[in-house]
Amino acid sequence: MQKFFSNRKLIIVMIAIIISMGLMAYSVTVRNNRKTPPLVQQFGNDVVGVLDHVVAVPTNGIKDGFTSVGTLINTYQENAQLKTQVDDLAQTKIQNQTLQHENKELKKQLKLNKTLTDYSQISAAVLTRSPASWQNYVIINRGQINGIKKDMPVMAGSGLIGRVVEVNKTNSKVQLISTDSQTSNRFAAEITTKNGGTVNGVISGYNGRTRQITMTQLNSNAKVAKGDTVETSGLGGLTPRGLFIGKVNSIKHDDYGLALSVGIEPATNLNNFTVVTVINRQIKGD
Amino acid sequence: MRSKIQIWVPVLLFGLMLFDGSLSTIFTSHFYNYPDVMISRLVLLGLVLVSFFLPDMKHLLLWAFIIGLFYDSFYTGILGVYTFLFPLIVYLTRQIRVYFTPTAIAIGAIYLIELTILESFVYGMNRFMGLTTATLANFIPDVLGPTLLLNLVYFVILYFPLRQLLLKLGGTTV
Repeated sequence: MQKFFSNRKLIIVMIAIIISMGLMAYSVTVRNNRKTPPLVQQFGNDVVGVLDHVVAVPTNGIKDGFTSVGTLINTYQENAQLKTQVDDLAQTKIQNQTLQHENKELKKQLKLNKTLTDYSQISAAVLTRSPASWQNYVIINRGQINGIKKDMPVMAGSGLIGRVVEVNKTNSKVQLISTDSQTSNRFAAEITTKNGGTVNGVISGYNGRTRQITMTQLNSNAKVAKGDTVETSGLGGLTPRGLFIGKVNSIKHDDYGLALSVGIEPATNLNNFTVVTVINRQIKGD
Repeated sequence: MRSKIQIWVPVLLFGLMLFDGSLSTIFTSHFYNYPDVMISRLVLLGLVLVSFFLPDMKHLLLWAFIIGLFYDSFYTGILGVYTFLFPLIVYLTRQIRVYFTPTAIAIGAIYLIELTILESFVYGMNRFMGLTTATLANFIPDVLGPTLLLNLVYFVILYFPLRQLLLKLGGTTV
Protein backbone atom coordinates (compact mmCIF):
# COMPACT_ATOMS: atom_id res chain seq x y z
CA MET A 1 0.00 0.00 0.00
CA GLN A 2 2.81 2.34 1.01
CA LYS A 3 4.61 1.62 -2.23
CA PHE A 4 1.47 2.25 -4.23
CA PHE A 5 1.02 5.68 -2.67
CA SER A 6 4.58 6.77 -3.23
CA ASN A 7 4.38 5.60 -6.82
CA ARG A 8 1.20 7.54 -7.38
CA LYS A 9 2.71 10.70 -5.91
CA LEU A 10 5.78 10.26 -8.06
CA ILE A 11 3.60 10.01 -11.14
CA ILE A 12 1.66 13.14 -10.15
CA VAL A 13 4.90 15.08 -9.68
CA MET A 14 6.22 13.83 -13.03
CA ILE A 15 3.02 14.86 -14.79
CA ALA A 16 3.12 18.27 -13.10
CA ILE A 17 6.73 18.81 -14.23
CA ILE A 18 5.90 17.78 -17.79
CA ILE A 19 2.87 20.08 -17.91
CA SER A 20 4.83 22.99 -16.48
CA MET A 21 7.67 22.44 -18.96
CA GLY A 22 5.14 22.27 -21.76
CA LEU A 23 3.49 25.50 -20.65
CA MET A 24 6.86 27.25 -20.43
CA ALA A 25 7.93 26.07 -23.85
CA TYR A 26 4.56 27.15 -25.24
CA SER A 27 4.76 30.61 -23.67
CA VAL A 28 8.32 31.29 -24.74
CA THR A 29 7.98 30.14 -28.35
CA VAL A 30 4.45 31.26 -29.09
CA ARG A 31 4.69 34.64 -27.40
CA ASN A 32 7.27 36.08 -29.76
CA ASN A 33 5.21 35.19 -32.80
CA ARG A 34 1.85 36.50 -31.66
CA LYS A 35 0.64 40.06 -31.57
CA THR A 36 -1.33 39.49 -28.36
CA PRO A 37 -1.66 36.69 -25.80
CA PRO A 38 -4.64 34.28 -26.05
CA LEU A 39 -8.00 35.81 -25.18
CA VAL A 40 -8.39 33.85 -21.93
CA GLN A 41 -5.00 35.01 -20.68
CA GLN A 42 -5.76 38.58 -21.74
CA PHE A 43 -9.03 38.47 -19.83
CA GLY A 44 -7.28 37.13 -16.72
CA ASN A 45 -4.62 39.84 -16.94
CA ASP A 46 -7.25 42.54 -17.39
CA VAL A 47 -9.17 41.35 -14.33
CA VAL A 48 -5.99 41.32 -12.23
CA GLY A 49 -5.04 44.71 -13.66
CA VAL A 50 -8.36 46.23 -12.64
CA LEU A 51 -8.20 44.65 -9.16
CA ASP A 52 -4.63 45.88 -8.84
CA HIS A 53 -5.89 49.45 -8.89
CA VAL A 54 -7.21 48.84 -5.37
CA VAL A 55 -3.66 48.21 -4.16
CA ALA A 56 -1.60 50.19 -6.66
CA VAL A 57 -3.43 53.53 -6.61
CA PRO A 58 -3.09 54.20 -2.85
CA THR A 59 0.50 52.93 -2.66
CA ASN A 60 1.57 54.90 -5.72
CA GLY A 61 -0.17 57.90 -4.16
CA ILE A 62 1.91 57.50 -1.00
CA LYS A 63 5.06 57.23 -3.08
CA ASP A 64 4.18 60.40 -4.98
CA GLY A 65 3.50 62.17 -1.69
CA PHE A 66 6.95 61.30 -0.34
CA THR A 67 8.57 62.26 -3.62
CA SER A 68 6.90 65.66 -3.58
CA VAL A 69 8.11 66.32 -0.03
CA GLY A 70 11.59 65.29 -1.15
CA THR A 71 11.52 67.61 -4.14
CA LEU A 72 10.17 70.45 -2.04
CA ILE A 73 13.36 70.40 0.01
CA ASN A 74 15.54 70.69 -3.09
CA THR A 75 13.34 73.29 -4.72
CA TYR A 76 15.36 76.38 -3.93
CA GLN A 77 18.67 75.11 -5.28
CA GLU A 78 17.02 73.58 -8.28
CA ASN A 79 15.17 76.77 -9.05
CA ALA A 80 18.39 78.77 -9.11
CA GLN A 81 20.00 76.25 -11.45
CA LEU A 82 17.00 75.99 -13.71
CA LYS A 83 16.61 79.75 -14.10
CA THR A 84 19.95 79.92 -15.84
CA GLN A 85 18.87 77.18 -18.22
CA VAL A 86 15.46 78.61 -19.05
CA ASP A 87 16.75 81.58 -21.06
CA ASP A 88 18.74 79.23 -23.20
CA LEU A 89 15.80 76.90 -23.59
CA ALA A 90 13.38 79.54 -24.84
CA GLN A 91 15.72 80.38 -27.68
CA THR A 92 16.23 76.71 -28.55
CA LYS A 93 12.48 76.13 -28.51
CA ILE A 94 11.79 78.92 -30.97
CA GLN A 95 14.57 77.70 -33.18
CA ASN A 96 13.17 74.19 -32.95
CA GLN A 97 9.72 75.39 -33.97
CA THR A 98 11.06 77.23 -36.96
CA LEU A 99 13.11 74.25 -38.05
CA GLN A 100 10.15 71.91 -37.61
CA HIS A 101 8.05 74.20 -39.73
CA GLU A 102 10.69 74.45 -42.39
CA ASN A 103 11.16 70.70 -42.31
CA LYS A 104 7.45 70.19 -42.90
CA GLU A 105 7.46 72.60 -45.83
CA LEU A 106 10.45 70.91 -47.39
CA LYS A 107 8.89 67.49 -46.92
CA LYS A 108 5.80 68.76 -48.66
CA GLN A 109 7.85 70.00 -51.60
CA LEU A 110 9.58 66.65 -51.84
CA LYS A 111 6.18 64.92 -51.64
CA LEU A 112 7.32 62.98 -48.56
CA ASN A 113 4.39 62.26 -46.32
CA LYS A 114 5.86 60.48 -43.36
CA THR A 115 9.48 59.79 -42.53
CA LEU A 116 11.24 57.81 -39.86
CA THR A 117 11.13 60.72 -37.45
CA ASP A 118 7.33 61.08 -37.34
CA TYR A 119 5.58 59.59 -34.36
CA SER A 120 2.61 60.12 -32.07
CA GLN A 121 2.63 59.62 -28.32
CA ILE A 122 0.42 57.75 -25.88
CA SER A 123 0.93 58.60 -22.22
CA ALA A 124 0.50 55.94 -19.58
CA ALA A 125 1.05 55.55 -15.86
CA VAL A 126 3.03 52.76 -14.27
CA LEU A 127 0.59 50.44 -12.56
CA THR A 128 3.02 48.06 -10.93
CA ARG A 129 6.41 46.52 -11.36
CA SER A 130 6.85 42.81 -11.76
CA PRO A 131 8.50 41.42 -8.62
CA ALA A 132 9.81 38.56 -10.73
CA SER A 133 13.06 40.40 -11.29
CA TRP A 134 14.45 38.19 -14.04
CA GLN A 135 11.96 39.69 -16.43
CA ASN A 136 12.48 43.42 -15.76
CA TYR A 137 8.87 44.16 -16.56
CA VAL A 138 6.79 47.18 -15.73
CA ILE A 139 3.03 47.01 -16.16
CA ILE A 140 1.37 50.15 -17.51
CA ASN A 141 -2.29 51.08 -17.46
CA ARG A 142 -2.89 51.40 -21.20
CA GLY A 143 -3.63 48.58 -23.62
CA GLN A 144 -5.13 47.61 -26.94
CA ILE A 145 -8.13 49.89 -26.53
CA ASN A 146 -5.76 52.86 -26.27
CA GLY A 147 -3.98 51.86 -29.45
CA ILE A 148 -0.90 50.23 -27.98
CA LYS A 149 0.70 47.52 -30.08
CA LYS A 150 3.41 45.01 -29.37
CA ASP A 151 7.04 46.16 -29.86
CA MET A 152 6.33 49.87 -29.53
CA PRO A 153 9.19 51.74 -27.81
CA VAL A 154 8.55 53.38 -24.45
CA MET A 155 10.09 56.58 -23.10
CA ALA A 156 10.20 58.09 -19.62
CA GLY A 157 11.53 61.54 -18.86
CA SER A 158 13.93 62.35 -21.65
CA GLY A 159 15.14 58.89 -22.54
CA LEU A 160 14.20 55.53 -23.87
CA ILE A 161 13.41 52.93 -21.20
CA GLY A 162 12.14 49.89 -23.03
CA ARG A 163 9.69 48.20 -25.31
CA VAL A 164 6.15 46.86 -25.08
CA VAL A 165 6.28 43.07 -25.01
CA GLU A 166 2.72 42.05 -24.25
CA VAL A 167 -0.55 43.87 -24.84
CA ASN A 168 -3.81 43.10 -23.06
CA LYS A 169 -7.03 45.02 -23.47
CA THR A 170 -6.46 47.51 -20.66
CA ASN A 171 -2.85 47.04 -19.59
CA SER A 172 0.43 46.05 -21.13
CA LYS A 173 3.86 44.86 -20.11
CA VAL A 174 6.98 46.88 -20.85
CA GLN A 175 10.35 45.20 -20.88
CA LEU A 176 12.98 47.59 -19.59
CA ILE A 177 16.16 48.23 -21.51
CA SER A 178 18.06 46.97 -18.45
CA THR A 179 17.15 43.35 -19.23
CA ASP A 180 19.79 40.77 -20.00
CA SER A 181 17.39 38.37 -21.68
CA GLN A 182 18.77 36.77 -24.81
CA THR A 183 15.40 36.48 -26.47
CA SER A 184 14.28 40.11 -26.26
CA ASN A 185 14.02 42.43 -29.22
CA ARG A 186 16.91 44.83 -29.57
CA PHE A 187 17.00 48.51 -30.47
CA ALA A 188 18.96 49.70 -33.46
CA ALA A 189 20.83 52.80 -32.36
CA GLU A 190 23.17 55.40 -33.80
CA ILE A 191 25.81 57.64 -32.30
CA THR A 192 26.18 61.20 -33.50
CA THR A 193 29.88 61.96 -33.46
CA LYS A 194 31.54 65.33 -32.89
CA ASN A 195 32.15 65.92 -36.57
CA GLY A 196 28.51 65.37 -37.43
CA GLY A 197 28.66 61.82 -38.74
CA THR A 198 26.62 58.91 -37.47
CA VAL A 199 27.75 55.45 -36.42
CA ASN A 200 25.26 52.59 -36.33
CA GLY A 201 25.09 49.82 -33.78
CA VAL A 202 22.76 47.69 -31.70
CA ILE A 203 21.75 48.03 -28.04
CA SER A 204 22.65 44.61 -26.78
CA GLY A 205 22.37 44.59 -23.02
CA TYR A 206 22.86 46.25 -19.67
CA ASN A 207 25.85 46.14 -17.38
CA GLY A 208 24.52 45.97 -13.84
CA ARG A 209 27.91 46.70 -12.26
CA THR A 210 28.53 49.98 -14.09
CA ARG A 211 24.80 50.70 -14.63
CA GLN A 212 25.40 51.39 -18.27
CA ILE A 213 23.60 50.29 -21.40
CA THR A 214 25.86 48.32 -23.73
CA MET A 215 25.87 49.07 -27.43
CA THR A 216 27.79 46.75 -29.74
CA GLN A 217 28.56 46.05 -33.39
CA LEU A 218 29.95 49.48 -34.14
CA ASN A 219 32.47 49.91 -36.88
CA SER A 220 35.84 49.61 -35.14
CA ASN A 221 37.43 52.64 -36.83
CA ALA A 222 34.54 54.94 -36.02
CA LYS A 223 35.59 58.09 -34.19
CA VAL A 224 33.38 57.83 -31.14
CA ALA A 225 34.21 60.03 -28.18
CA LYS A 226 33.01 60.20 -24.61
CA GLY A 227 29.94 62.44 -24.35
CA ASP A 228 28.55 61.77 -27.81
CA THR A 229 24.77 61.38 -27.89
CA VAL A 230 23.11 58.06 -28.70
CA GLU A 231 19.63 57.80 -30.19
CA THR A 232 17.53 55.20 -31.96
CA SER A 233 18.27 54.96 -35.66
CA GLY A 234 14.79 53.93 -36.77
CA LEU A 235 16.09 50.96 -38.73
CA GLY A 236 13.98 47.82 -38.57
CA GLY A 237 10.61 47.42 -36.93
CA LEU A 238 8.44 49.87 -35.08
CA THR A 239 10.95 52.31 -33.61
CA PRO A 240 11.10 55.84 -35.04
CA ARG A 241 14.35 57.71 -35.48
CA GLY A 242 15.69 60.11 -32.90
CA LEU A 243 14.58 58.74 -29.53
CA PHE A 244 17.23 59.78 -27.03
CA ILE A 245 18.94 56.88 -25.26
CA GLY A 246 21.88 58.42 -23.47
CA LYS A 247 25.48 59.59 -23.69
CA VAL A 248 28.59 57.60 -24.46
CA ASN A 249 30.58 56.92 -21.33
CA SER A 250 33.14 54.24 -22.13
CA ILE A 251 34.54 52.85 -25.36
CA LYS A 252 36.35 49.56 -25.84
CA HIS A 253 36.81 46.80 -28.37
CA ASP A 254 34.45 43.86 -28.03
CA ASP A 255 35.56 40.36 -27.04
CA TYR A 256 36.70 39.47 -30.55
CA GLY A 257 38.41 42.78 -31.28
CA LEU A 258 36.45 43.20 -34.50
CA ALA A 259 33.96 45.86 -33.47
CA LEU A 260 33.58 48.56 -30.86
CA SER A 261 31.53 48.11 -27.73
CA VAL A 262 30.27 51.27 -26.08
CA GLY A 263 28.92 51.86 -22.58
CA ILE A 264 26.05 54.36 -22.51
CA GLU A 265 24.99 56.41 -19.52
CA PRO A 266 21.16 56.24 -19.70
CA ALA A 267 19.35 59.55 -20.11
CA THR A 268 16.67 58.58 -17.58
CA ASN A 269 16.96 56.94 -14.21
CA LEU A 270 15.79 53.44 -15.11
CA ASN A 271 14.56 52.84 -11.57
CA ASN A 272 12.53 55.93 -10.89
CA PHE A 273 9.63 56.87 -13.11
CA THR A 274 5.87 56.82 -12.65
CA VAL A 275 4.70 58.13 -16.02
CA VAL A 276 5.79 56.78 -19.38
CA THR A 277 5.16 57.67 -23.01
CA VAL A 278 4.52 54.97 -25.57
CA ILE A 279 5.78 55.93 -29.02
CA ASN A 280 3.72 55.07 -32.06
CA ARG A 281 5.68 55.36 -35.29
CA GLN A 282 3.59 56.77 -38.12
CA ILE A 283 5.39 55.21 -41.00
CA LYS A 284 4.62 51.51 -41.39
CA GLY A 285 7.34 48.96 -40.63
CA ASP A 286 8.07 45.92 -42.72
CA MET B 1 -16.57 28.95 10.07
CA ARG B 2 -15.09 26.70 7.42
CA SER B 3 -16.45 28.82 4.59
CA LYS B 4 -14.85 31.92 6.10
CA ILE B 5 -11.41 30.43 5.52
CA GLN B 6 -12.35 29.32 2.04
CA ILE B 7 -13.15 32.89 1.03
CA TRP B 8 -10.67 34.99 2.95
CA VAL B 9 -7.50 32.96 2.53
CA PRO B 10 -7.56 33.21 -1.30
CA VAL B 11 -8.36 36.92 -0.99
CA LEU B 12 -5.44 37.36 1.40
CA LEU B 13 -3.04 35.48 -0.88
CA PHE B 14 -4.22 37.43 -3.89
CA GLY B 15 -3.79 40.70 -1.99
CA LEU B 16 -0.25 39.72 -0.96
CA MET B 17 0.54 38.97 -4.59
CA LEU B 18 -0.57 42.45 -5.65
CA PHE B 19 1.33 44.03 -2.75
CA ASP B 20 4.48 42.31 -4.01
CA GLY B 21 4.13 44.30 -7.20
CA SER B 22 3.29 47.56 -5.48
CA LEU B 23 6.17 47.30 -3.02
CA SER B 24 8.49 46.63 -5.94
CA THR B 25 7.14 49.80 -7.55
CA ILE B 26 7.48 52.00 -4.47
CA PHE B 27 10.96 50.81 -3.52
CA THR B 28 12.22 50.28 -7.07
CA SER B 29 15.46 52.14 -6.48
CA HIS B 30 16.14 50.10 -3.33
CA PHE B 31 15.05 46.69 -4.56
CA TYR B 32 16.70 46.99 -7.97
CA ASN B 33 19.89 48.62 -6.79
CA TYR B 34 22.00 46.95 -9.47
CA PRO B 35 23.86 44.68 -9.23
CA ASP B 36 21.97 43.78 -6.05
CA VAL B 37 18.41 42.68 -6.64
CA MET B 38 15.85 41.99 -3.93
CA ILE B 39 12.75 40.08 -4.88
CA SER B 40 9.65 40.72 -2.82
CA ARG B 41 7.96 37.41 -1.93
CA LEU B 42 5.07 38.28 0.36
CA VAL B 43 2.86 35.75 -1.37
CA LEU B 44 5.27 32.96 -0.43
CA LEU B 45 5.17 34.07 3.21
CA GLY B 46 1.38 33.88 2.98
CA LEU B 47 1.46 30.40 1.47
CA VAL B 48 3.88 29.03 4.08
CA LEU B 49 1.98 30.50 7.03
CA VAL B 50 -1.37 29.33 5.70
CA SER B 51 -0.09 25.80 5.25
CA PHE B 52 1.29 25.91 8.78
CA PHE B 53 -1.60 27.42 10.69
CA LEU B 54 -4.60 26.30 8.68
CA PRO B 55 -3.89 22.62 8.06
CA ASP B 56 -7.56 21.84 7.46
CA MET B 57 -7.96 24.46 4.72
CA LYS B 58 -9.39 22.58 1.76
CA HIS B 59 -8.13 22.99 -1.78
CA LEU B 60 -5.05 24.96 -0.71
CA LEU B 61 -3.00 23.21 -3.37
CA LEU B 62 -5.58 24.21 -5.96
CA TRP B 63 -5.54 27.81 -4.75
CA ALA B 64 -1.74 27.86 -4.84
CA PHE B 65 -1.98 26.63 -8.41
CA ILE B 66 -4.50 29.34 -9.36
CA ILE B 67 -2.52 32.12 -7.66
CA GLY B 68 0.60 30.83 -9.41
CA LEU B 69 -1.19 30.90 -12.75
CA PHE B 70 -2.30 34.50 -12.22
CA TYR B 71 1.17 35.44 -11.00
CA ASP B 72 2.73 33.99 -14.12
CA SER B 73 0.25 35.53 -16.46
CA PHE B 74 0.15 39.00 -14.92
CA TYR B 75 3.76 39.49 -13.90
CA THR B 76 5.88 37.47 -16.30
CA GLY B 77 3.73 36.26 -19.19
CA ILE B 78 5.50 32.90 -19.05
CA LEU B 79 3.12 30.27 -17.76
CA GLY B 80 4.32 27.25 -15.83
CA VAL B 81 6.97 28.66 -13.50
CA TYR B 82 5.10 29.83 -10.41
CA THR B 83 2.11 27.75 -11.45
CA PHE B 84 4.24 24.74 -10.64
CA LEU B 85 6.35 26.12 -7.80
CA PHE B 86 3.65 27.55 -5.50
CA PRO B 87 1.81 24.20 -5.12
CA LEU B 88 5.19 22.51 -4.67
CA ILE B 89 6.02 24.84 -1.77
CA VAL B 90 2.61 24.27 -0.17
CA TYR B 91 2.98 20.50 -0.54
CA LEU B 92 6.49 20.58 0.91
CA THR B 93 5.40 22.68 3.91
CA ARG B 94 2.47 20.39 4.61
CA GLN B 95 4.73 17.35 4.49
CA ILE B 96 7.30 18.68 6.96
CA ARG B 97 5.07 20.69 9.29
CA VAL B 98 4.27 17.66 11.44
CA TYR B 99 7.92 17.31 12.47
CA PHE B 100 8.17 20.80 13.94
CA THR B 101 6.51 22.66 16.76
CA PRO B 102 5.16 25.85 15.21
CA THR B 103 7.48 28.37 16.83
CA ALA B 104 8.59 31.56 15.09
CA ILE B 105 12.18 30.34 14.80
CA ALA B 106 11.26 26.99 13.24
CA ILE B 107 8.81 28.51 10.79
CA GLY B 108 11.27 31.25 9.92
CA ALA B 109 13.97 28.71 9.17
CA ILE B 110 11.61 26.61 7.04
CA TYR B 111 10.47 29.75 5.25
CA LEU B 112 14.03 30.76 4.37
CA ILE B 113 14.86 27.26 3.15
CA GLU B 114 11.78 27.17 0.96
CA LEU B 115 12.53 30.64 -0.32
CA THR B 116 15.97 29.41 -1.35
CA ILE B 117 14.41 26.44 -3.12
CA LEU B 118 11.94 28.71 -4.92
CA GLU B 119 14.51 31.28 -6.01
CA SER B 120 16.89 28.59 -7.22
CA PHE B 121 14.18 26.91 -9.24
CA VAL B 122 13.02 30.22 -10.71
CA TYR B 123 16.58 31.13 -11.61
CA GLY B 124 17.17 27.69 -13.10
CA MET B 125 14.04 27.89 -15.23
CA ASN B 126 14.81 31.40 -16.47
CA ARG B 127 18.36 30.41 -17.24
CA PHE B 128 17.08 27.33 -19.03
CA MET B 129 14.75 29.43 -21.18
CA GLY B 130 17.52 31.92 -21.97
CA LEU B 131 15.71 34.80 -20.28
CA THR B 132 18.75 35.72 -18.23
CA THR B 133 22.49 35.46 -18.75
CA ALA B 134 23.39 35.75 -15.06
CA THR B 135 25.70 32.97 -13.96
CA LEU B 136 25.36 30.99 -10.75
CA ALA B 137 28.27 32.98 -9.32
CA ASN B 138 26.24 36.16 -9.93
CA PHE B 139 22.93 34.73 -8.81
CA ILE B 140 23.96 33.66 -5.31
CA PRO B 141 25.52 36.90 -4.01
CA ASP B 142 23.56 39.41 -6.12
CA VAL B 143 20.04 38.00 -6.03
CA LEU B 144 19.66 35.17 -3.54
CA GLY B 145 21.45 36.88 -0.66
CA PRO B 146 19.62 40.23 -0.77
CA THR B 147 16.31 38.46 -1.42
CA LEU B 148 16.70 36.29 1.68
CA LEU B 149 17.57 39.40 3.67
CA LEU B 150 14.54 41.36 2.50
CA ASN B 151 12.15 38.50 3.08
CA LEU B 152 13.60 37.85 6.52
CA VAL B 153 12.68 41.45 7.34
CA TYR B 154 9.17 40.82 5.99
CA PHE B 155 8.96 37.71 8.15
CA VAL B 156 10.03 39.52 11.32
CA ILE B 157 7.52 42.31 10.74
CA LEU B 158 4.59 40.27 9.50
CA TYR B 159 4.86 36.94 11.31
CA PHE B 160 2.79 37.83 14.38
CA PRO B 161 0.09 39.94 12.68
CA LEU B 162 -0.40 37.30 9.97
CA ARG B 163 -0.42 34.49 12.51
CA GLN B 164 -3.09 36.23 14.60
CA LEU B 165 -5.13 36.89 11.47
CA LEU B 166 -4.93 33.30 10.28
CA LEU B 167 -5.68 31.82 13.70
CA LYS B 168 -8.67 34.14 14.00
CA LEU B 169 -9.89 33.05 10.58
CA GLY B 170 -9.37 29.42 11.53
CA GLY B 171 -11.41 29.90 14.68
CA THR B 172 -8.73 28.98 17.21
CA THR B 173 -7.64 31.45 19.83
CA VAL B 174 -4.16 31.59 21.30
